Amino acid sequence: MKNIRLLFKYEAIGLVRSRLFQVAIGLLMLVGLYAIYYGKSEIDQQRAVLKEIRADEEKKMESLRSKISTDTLPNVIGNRTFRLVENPPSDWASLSIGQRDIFPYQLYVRYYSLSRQIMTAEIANPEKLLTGNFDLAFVLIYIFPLFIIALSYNLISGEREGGTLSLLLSNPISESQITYIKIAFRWLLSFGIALFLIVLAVIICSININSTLLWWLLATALYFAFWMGIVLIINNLKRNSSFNAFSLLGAWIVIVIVVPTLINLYLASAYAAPPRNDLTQAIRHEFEEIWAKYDDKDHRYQTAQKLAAKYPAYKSDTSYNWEDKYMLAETDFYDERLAPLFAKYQNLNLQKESVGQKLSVLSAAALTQQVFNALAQTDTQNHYSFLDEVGRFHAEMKVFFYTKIFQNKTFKLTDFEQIPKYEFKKKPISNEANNGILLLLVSVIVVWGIGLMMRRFMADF
Amino acid sequence: MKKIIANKEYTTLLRDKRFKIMGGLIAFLLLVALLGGFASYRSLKKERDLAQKEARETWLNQGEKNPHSAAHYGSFAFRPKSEMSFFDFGVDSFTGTNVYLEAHRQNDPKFSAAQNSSSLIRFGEMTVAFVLQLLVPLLIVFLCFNSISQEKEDNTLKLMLSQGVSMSHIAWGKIQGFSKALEWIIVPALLLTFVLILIGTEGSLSADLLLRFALTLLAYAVYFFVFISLSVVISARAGSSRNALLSLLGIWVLTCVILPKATTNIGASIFKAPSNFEFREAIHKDEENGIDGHNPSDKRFEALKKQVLAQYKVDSVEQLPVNFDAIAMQEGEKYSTMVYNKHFDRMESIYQNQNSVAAYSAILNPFMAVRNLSMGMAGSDYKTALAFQKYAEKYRYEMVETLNTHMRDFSKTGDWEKKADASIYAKIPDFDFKNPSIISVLRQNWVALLALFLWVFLCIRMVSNLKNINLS
Repeated sequence: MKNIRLLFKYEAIGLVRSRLFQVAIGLLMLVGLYAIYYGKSEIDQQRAVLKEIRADEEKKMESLRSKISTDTLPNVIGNRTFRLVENPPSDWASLSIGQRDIFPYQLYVRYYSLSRQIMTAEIANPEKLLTGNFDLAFVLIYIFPLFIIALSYNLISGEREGGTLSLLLSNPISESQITYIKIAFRWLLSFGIALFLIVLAVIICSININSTLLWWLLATALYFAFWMGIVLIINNLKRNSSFNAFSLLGAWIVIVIVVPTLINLYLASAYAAPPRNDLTQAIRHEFEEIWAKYDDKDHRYQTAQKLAAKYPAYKSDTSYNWEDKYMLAETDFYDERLAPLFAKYQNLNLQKESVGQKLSVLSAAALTQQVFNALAQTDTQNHYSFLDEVGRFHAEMKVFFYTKIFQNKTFKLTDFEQIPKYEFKKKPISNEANNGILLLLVSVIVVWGIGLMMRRFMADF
Repeated sequence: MKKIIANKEYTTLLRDKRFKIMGGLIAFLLLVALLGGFASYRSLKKERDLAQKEARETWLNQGEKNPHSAAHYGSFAFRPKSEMSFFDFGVDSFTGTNVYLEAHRQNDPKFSAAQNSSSLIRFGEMTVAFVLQLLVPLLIVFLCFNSISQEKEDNTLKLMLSQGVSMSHIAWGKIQGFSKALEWIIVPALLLTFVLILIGTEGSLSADLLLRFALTLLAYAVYFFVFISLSVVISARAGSSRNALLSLLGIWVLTCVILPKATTNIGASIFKAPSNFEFREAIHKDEENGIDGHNPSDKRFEALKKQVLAQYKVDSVEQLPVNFDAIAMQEGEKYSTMVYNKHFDRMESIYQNQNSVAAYSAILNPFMAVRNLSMGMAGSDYKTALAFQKYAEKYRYEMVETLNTHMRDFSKTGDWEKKADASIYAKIPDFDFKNPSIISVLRQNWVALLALFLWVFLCIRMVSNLKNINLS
């Protein structure tokens, strides 16, 4: 115990006096603070946009309400009712922006055909998307391992080269003990700084403290432990400091850059994003068909019959508002016909995502990024669950207006109050986070296992 | 003497295990990136060419229709893959690939690859450009960090200097030797790239493409030269090999990882871009002041009516020899397009300002210079994507205009039934987007060009000005 304390103390003194360390710490703080600021400003902007649209929705609904008179038809109101379905950022989104800059996070939904509404994209500067976000997740995943490498490349080799190793070993302490103590010290130090930055981010972004914080810290701790395992492996080769720096950086490049990009390359060539020609053509063609048969009385009647067979509540009384009912029936079938095509592409993407996730096991950096995104709810799955929400809410709106229209009643002010309004409910954090953390733990065990086995192997040598 | 040093460096490097391992790894990655990139380029190109052909066929064979129905039916534009885009994906994965062209609406290009990829795409894409920009400099650092410092530590530098060679001669010799060794990795990859370009274009290589390839080569050659000479200079100046390695690695992390991200994000923070909602809302507001072809109610419509009636010297639209609805719609189209273009250009200039921060950082950061030039030459840069978007919008407008004009002349006001002959569709030309010329790419990237010139100049100065160390 005394040895540990003593070593910790002198390690600390040695580090604080080293120029490299001073520069590295300064840089790390600077970069960390900027990342927090950047993440916050990006997410705040998204929140501001949502606020603006909510106000706009209210204004539009208010003006619609004033137009209601005694003989207002429900379809007139339905056609003009746009409801905001939103996917507001979670508290943690500022720390890991993830895919939020690529996917739309809000949509005005009407009761009309869903297929014609959901193909929107957020506009963004492609160069910015290409370079990616400088958020805290980036700092933790990319920059911290470099800091760890800068601290640890001469863990024992530095002592050996400086001639102090034999002095140290003259104390009742073994080389492996020194190694572990030094590694523990560096892990604690890096984690301490990360902890400081994360807590700072929690305060600056006024994040509600809950179990997510613990998961976040656990993922960070494991990721750093993974890097300490790599340090142990390289250190056990007992080569000089230059070699260590060289190999550690090599490991960083492979884990942080090469493996994830190779996975991408594989996904891009094995699952190339198709131009979705069939979907876009169908969206257009099927819609044109509806209009082409608009005046065909026979077809109109059959369509209404078909709808009534599907939903008994929507039985058409041909005497009243007949054209609109035909269109409602047709758009329902239109969505139904297009649904398999939408599902096809969504499944393709989800499949790609899940293959990507499985392959991420090869890189602790990719794993950690996915854990952070899952915790911040900024991952691809979150986007798809938003789309599900859109579908669910659209169905609600559709039932509401279809029922009113098929009942042949006028639309009253009391009906107006009952128009469904989208309430965003917080979703639980997806299982990806737990799975990712578990896999991260496995990676830590693997690298440490290799490191520890090497020690024995080298000792036998 | 310089030659002797260069040859010695070259031979020892080729025998060096470090060079063999890392060089082999990079050569392997280059090969994988080339073949993988080319495979995905081929399949995307095939699909999009086919999709474009199909869109054209459905357009031509849509049957007799009222011209305005045809305008609503519309067509699709698919962004063609540039011939060299397998070499550098650039922003291609982050831009939409497919625009729906229809009356009254300017649609955004949709279905970017990034939206349809695993979230891992944010780690970057393994392309030849990625390896050359990010990993080759690192190889250079690893090979050159102790080029002179080691000689110092082994006291061989003194020996060389005592024979009357100057420090800068030694440095130049080393630079030559390293460059020669590096060629073993880079040249085969580039040769293969060239072969793949030939395969991709089926042998019909244009002068433009050849020039693009040559300039890309030049840009990378300069980039590597900058890293090699910087490494040698730092190795000469550093107190020890270790210090040289650490400073060079620091420089690499800063230039290749931190600065590109930081400058791009700072640009975006300084120049705030509107969200999709704000963009569309602003357009909508401006359009409300104009006329909407389908809603003949407001002032502009009345003014137009008065003007047209006066032009044809009649009292009511019914007496007009032409279809007034078509005229009104065309005016509406013109107005909304004007409004859209105004807002689009405004947003574009915001994006441009955002990107300019990173572009100007090229003066300090050669990585940025080569990244922008490489994307530009490969036709996978933002400007090319933008040119496509503008071309598609212009095409859309002309398509609608042609149909409206036809409707104006062949039917009377209020007639939405009269069908035009199917031959009218062929009047709209093929969608045939061509990448911006190489001159305009160079003009857009003048900062990058200037930066590379400055860096070459600076490196030559630094190497030539290396002072002999004290021999005592």
